[in-house]
Amino acid sequence: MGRYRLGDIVRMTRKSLSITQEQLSDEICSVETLSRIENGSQNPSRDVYELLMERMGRIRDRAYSLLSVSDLKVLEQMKLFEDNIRQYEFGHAEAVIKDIMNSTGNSVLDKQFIIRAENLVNFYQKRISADEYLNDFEKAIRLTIPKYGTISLANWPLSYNEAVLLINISVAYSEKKDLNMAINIIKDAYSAVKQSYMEEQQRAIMQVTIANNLSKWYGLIGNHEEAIITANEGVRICKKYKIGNVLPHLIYGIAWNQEQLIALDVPPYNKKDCINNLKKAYYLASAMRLSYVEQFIKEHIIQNYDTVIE
Amino acid sequence: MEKNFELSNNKIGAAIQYFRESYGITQGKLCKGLCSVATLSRIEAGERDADSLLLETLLERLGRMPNQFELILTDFDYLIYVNRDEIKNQIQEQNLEKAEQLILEYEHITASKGNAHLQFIVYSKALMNELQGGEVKDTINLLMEAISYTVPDFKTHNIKDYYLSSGELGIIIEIIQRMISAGIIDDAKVILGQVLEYLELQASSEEINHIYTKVTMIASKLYMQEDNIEMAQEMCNKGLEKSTGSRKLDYLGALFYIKAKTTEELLKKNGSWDASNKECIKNYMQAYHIYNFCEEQAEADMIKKHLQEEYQWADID
Repeated sequence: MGRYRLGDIVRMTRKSLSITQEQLSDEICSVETLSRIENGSQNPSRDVYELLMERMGRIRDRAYSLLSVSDLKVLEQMKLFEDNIRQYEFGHAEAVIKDIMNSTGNSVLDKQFIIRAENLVNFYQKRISADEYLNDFEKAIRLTIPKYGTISLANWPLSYNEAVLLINISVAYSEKKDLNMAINIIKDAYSAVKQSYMEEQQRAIMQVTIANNLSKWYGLIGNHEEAIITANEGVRICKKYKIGNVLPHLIYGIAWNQEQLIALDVPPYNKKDCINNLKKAYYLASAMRLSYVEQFIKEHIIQNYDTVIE
Repeated sequence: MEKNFELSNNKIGAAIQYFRESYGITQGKLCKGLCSVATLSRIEAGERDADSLLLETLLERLGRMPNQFELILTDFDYLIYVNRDEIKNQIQEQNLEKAEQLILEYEHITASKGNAHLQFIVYSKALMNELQGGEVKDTINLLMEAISYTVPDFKTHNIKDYYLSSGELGIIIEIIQRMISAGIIDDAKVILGQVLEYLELQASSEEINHIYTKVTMIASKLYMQEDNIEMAQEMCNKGLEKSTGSRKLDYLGALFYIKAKTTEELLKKNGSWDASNKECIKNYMQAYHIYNFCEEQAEADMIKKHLQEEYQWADID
């Protein structure tokens, strides 16, 4: 009979990542419990098992050997929700949340997902304030990181979902116009993501997204040097993993911050650097078929440089 | 959902059945070349332990990627998983002697373990042949042998009767590329046509679209070589269309370059080209910036030179 020993999966995965039982179990269960789970003398609860695997970067909806058909359906709907949000289909997204709530179990990860999902929809539909928006994200992250807010997360072994939540939280601070808090939180997330056990491609996409937000906020508080350094880091990751969709934003950000420094008479940039970057960003945006960004940069060039770009 | 689920029944069978049925695929079609229908039935019912490579290939044929280690049931399975990984690493590092020895051992311990393993072995041998400087024809023959283990009538039948894993598609694409470099163009075209047809029938997903972009790039380059400008452009347009919305930059440099070049050639042919053609310049510039960013300098320089000479376009960077 096809039976799985979850302990074996945990042990093999942990060893392949070369992490200790102490590092893996921190704040999820005791080392003794993990040890018993791994040697098969204790059954993990669903929550403990899922949290351990999340921390090791396993993707929840790829855990086919453990998921029942109803779990698979819920995970497919969670995906559908994210797609709807990305396309600004908030009505559809809300209907999907209702379906999920009717069929989901009550695992910690399910609860965390639902709080985050409802919060996103409510905010985009302008039903709640930025303060409430922030509060609910913080409530969600405390489900898996109870110490959130009292410790630095810069060295925390963040899971993918937790990193997404930290980005959400930092965006909520920026909505409240508290850019310094937004920067502090996303900086911690940035450092944590670098050392996390996420799957390589997922981590790269996450790093690029974070670098783009962080660079934007540095620029807005007038720290243009940091903004340029951060955006360049994002560009380097884009190059390594051939990621194109955030690249035009990053390069545009570099040009914009260079323009600000020139206006302040701070060396070493000149107009030629800016226009070159703007053109690069323009052609890359059009190659990635990001027509909104393409148009935006084109107008920026016309207004500021008196040139027309083809 | 149960609280404790250690040692619960293996649910992988239910997952395979669920995906298979939601896509309306018959058992026969899913497991063709991989295992018998009876075996698939027992796997779906959770009545038998299956080899992790077989489970992985079945899931991949359904467009799913499993987590690492998750399908491994036995110590033996774990051992050969580690061996496969080691063989791939040694080949990548070009430690040919070590790789050869590991492949031999793998062949020995997985004898009679099924076609997916035979495919892995012969595929590895094909890569080895190439690294050792062997004939392209031999590499092609080995790749053909490898694919034929799980797509048994590959040489005589259209692949559209199969559901293929990304690994299987990868081998077929490698065959096409080797055939083109060996000048076996007619055969390469037949397979190219089949792969494109197959991919067009699949539901759109990030992975399928990414493979499709690659295949259209190979096809449009081939048509360019043959001066078949119309077909080159058609392929290129298809690739650009499917890559819209993708996160990745791969293959886009070549596609925009061919788009520019074919547009230019077609306009020249009917006498309506002139050096201020904005569409061509824009496509060349898109290609230029992607090549430049990806540090493919030779391609970037070629475009720069072409723009300067043909378009008197000095405004590059």
